[in-house]
This record gives sequence, structure tokens and C-alpha cells, in this order.
Amino acid sequence: MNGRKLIFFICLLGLTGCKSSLLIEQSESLLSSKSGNVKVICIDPRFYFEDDALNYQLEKCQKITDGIKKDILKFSMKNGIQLELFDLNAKSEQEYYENLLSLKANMLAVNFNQRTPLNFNSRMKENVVQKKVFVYPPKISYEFNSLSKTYGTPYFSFVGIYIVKDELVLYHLVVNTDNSETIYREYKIVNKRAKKELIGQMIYDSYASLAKELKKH
Amino acid sequence: MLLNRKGILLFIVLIQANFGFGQATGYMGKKFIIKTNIVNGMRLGFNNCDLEYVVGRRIAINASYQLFDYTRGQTGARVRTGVVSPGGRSSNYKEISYLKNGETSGWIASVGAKLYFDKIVPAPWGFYTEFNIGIGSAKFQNFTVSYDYKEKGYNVYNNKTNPRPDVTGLSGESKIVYFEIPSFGYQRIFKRLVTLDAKVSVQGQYCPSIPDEMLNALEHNYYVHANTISYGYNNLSLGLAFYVKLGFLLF
Repeated sequence: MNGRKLIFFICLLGLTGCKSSLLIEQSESLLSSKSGNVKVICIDPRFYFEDDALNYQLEKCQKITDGIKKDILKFSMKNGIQLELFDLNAKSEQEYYENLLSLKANMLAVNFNQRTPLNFNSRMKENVVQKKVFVYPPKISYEFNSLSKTYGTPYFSFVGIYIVKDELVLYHLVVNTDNSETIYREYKIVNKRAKKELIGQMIYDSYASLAKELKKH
Repeated sequence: MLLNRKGILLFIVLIQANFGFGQATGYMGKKFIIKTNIVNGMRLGFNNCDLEYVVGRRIAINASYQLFDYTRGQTGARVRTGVVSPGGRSSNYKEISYLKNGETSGWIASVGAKLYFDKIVPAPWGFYTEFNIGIGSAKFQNFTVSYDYKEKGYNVYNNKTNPRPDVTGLSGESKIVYFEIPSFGYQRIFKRLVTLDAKVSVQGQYCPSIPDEMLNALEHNYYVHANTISYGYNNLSLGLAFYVKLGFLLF
């Protein structure tokens, strides 16, 4: 094989070997923020199968979700983000239902109303890291403005791991309750089997990217 | 060739493309891997230690130290035509010289870089291409050269001809220049600690200074044929190499 054929072969592998994609969208307010606040509240991270029948394998889903929660706590700390995780458990109080769960429902709803890789069949560019700035950041309800005083930070987030058409999808959403904006939205789609090692790596990478945005100001 | 202007430009574009995408996260923050061969396409006794460090989202640099010590048995023959065999009266013979039983030992130290194809799942996970270059030293010990003769136009050995006596105890040393034409491999991580790296490549070993005493007796060059499948030309040997490397992701 001569040099030209070898270069062609390597380029071909580079182009065809990867069918993953990553889209990070940020608000202008995050880019221009000077707060330096790196405390984030993470609400009820979840693992879902696209097929509802599989979601009834409650034990399996719960086991993976527990692993995701551990990874979120570990890797956010590793990246210098002070993260508090709130989820439904035996100790959950009225505050969880009234404030956090309704905030989660609201932030998911306003973002799902947009055209995203999760609710449309639109494909993202393969093997490309895309970074965009929201033209109009999805707005959440103003009723959550007071939460920053209660929790000591205006940043609230949700992390979801989905299996969609045999692809592993990470969905990471951060909102700022002070200005009611979605400030960070990340979709990472990996065309690989959902292994624990890979899910951990995706979560780590996501928090590394978020920390970079939060801490650079 | 890879080292022409287009090859260099392509290399620069690939490097630039990597740095355009920011941070080196490694695998969950771990960037340093130590590994060794568990399967290879090299001759027995070829031991190595590799260090890999992730420096970009898609780039890792690596250093490797290899020790080798092998005996090849009989190697390929060298044919000279029109020779007068010892004791023969005709110059109508082909002389075939064989290199036998020598031991080749030495070391190769190399450095290189890996470029991972996947921009989404960062290095050190996934398919990659790698380039390595290095130097080393080889010792050749106790080689024997024996001779056979064939009459021109015949394919059978002429047993009546008294062959040249074997030359034994040939030894010498040579420096090695080692390089690896960009290879193709896949690295996977298990249990957040163990790495398995499979790679196929074409390696070259260039011995610029084969000892004279060996050259004179062999009538041809000897190369560091570390690869089981290899081809030699002048002082250069090119060989196919494949590895499976087991490693640990340390920090």
C-alpha cells in the first residue's frame, strides 16, 4: 500500500467510524455572566428507555439511575462544581414536590416544546462538536424566581440518559431561575451500547464542559 | 509518500482540528495509561512497556521501551550466480548462502502521538491512528553462514561440489532507527481501570551500520527482523505488526 492509499484509508476510517454527535447550546447571559457561582442543584436525574415496555423493568432502570446519580455527584465535584442532588426518596418533603418537581416539569416542558433531537427525528451533524448560542433562550415560568434564595443558587439542572433507537443519549439542562432562562442545554448522542463505563464518561465530559463555562468568568 | 508536502499539510489540519475542540478531559479525568503487550506479531521474547498521556480531546502522546531477544533459526537465502565453487572447475554455479541460528537482542525506545477519530467520546477511548519514531541498539551473536550450490539451469543441489565451509561465530552490533507508519487501532476501557488496546501497523527498522565482518561473510545485509512478517531492502526492514496491549488507567 503506498502513501496516498494509506492516507485515503485513514481518512475514510476517520469519516465513517464515528456516528456520534454533540450539541451544546448556551444563553448569552451565561457567556456574559460574571458571577463565578458554581453551585448547581440537580433535580431527579433519570434513565429512560425509548420503549416503554423496557421501562417497566423497574429494578434495572433504578440500578442504572442509582449509578448515574453517583457519577453525577462524583464528577461534578471533580470538576469543581458544588452540586446538590434532590430526588424522590423516603425523606422527600413537601418542598420537593412543590418547588423542585414542578420546576423540573416546567424546564423540561419549555425545552421539549422546541425542535430538539429528542422530540424530532432531525439528525445532528455526525462526529462534530457543535456549540451554539440561543437566539431566544427557552424561558421558564417566573414563579421560580424565589428559589435562588431558598437553595443558595439560581442554577437548577436536570440530567437524563436515554436509549433511543439503540443510541445512547445524554440530555443535560441548566436553567437560571433569577432571569428564568435556560442557560445551558447539551445533547450528546453516542452510537454505542449503554455500558456503565461509557455513561460515566459522558457524564464526566458533560460536567467538564459545564464547569468550563461556569468558571471561566 | 507520507512525508511529502500534502502529507504534512494533512497532518497539520488533523492536529489543528483537534485543538479547535477544546479541553482534554481524558477518561473521567484520568489521562495516564501504562500498558504492555499480551499478544503481538513479534518474535518471542519481545517485551515492552508503554506510557500514554492524553493531551487533547483527541490527541495522546506516548512513549515506549521495547526489549527483544530472539533466535530465528534459518533465515532467507542470498543467491550469487557465476561463482566458482571451492574445489570446482566451473564458474557455472549459483551459490546460495544461508544465515542460521543467530541470536538478536537489543532495545528500542520510541515516542509518538495518537489521534483518536471520535470527537464526541474523548480520548483515550475508541479508534485511533498512531505514529511512532525511535532509536535503539541491536546485538547479533553467534550467527552461522552455510553455503549450497546449484548448477545453472538446474534446480537440484550439486552434492558433488565441495561447499565453502560454514562461517561460524559471527557477531556484531548496530544502531537502529525505528519508525512506524501511521497505524490503526482501537482502545477500550473496562471497569474504569483496565484498558485493552488492539493495533495493526507497519513498522520499519533501519540499521545504518551492520558490522563489516557480518557483511563480508553474509554477502548480504542482516536486518532486525523483529516482525514475523517482514521484508528487507538494503539496510531497511519493513514488517507487519499487530498487538493487543493490556494496560491500567492510573490517574
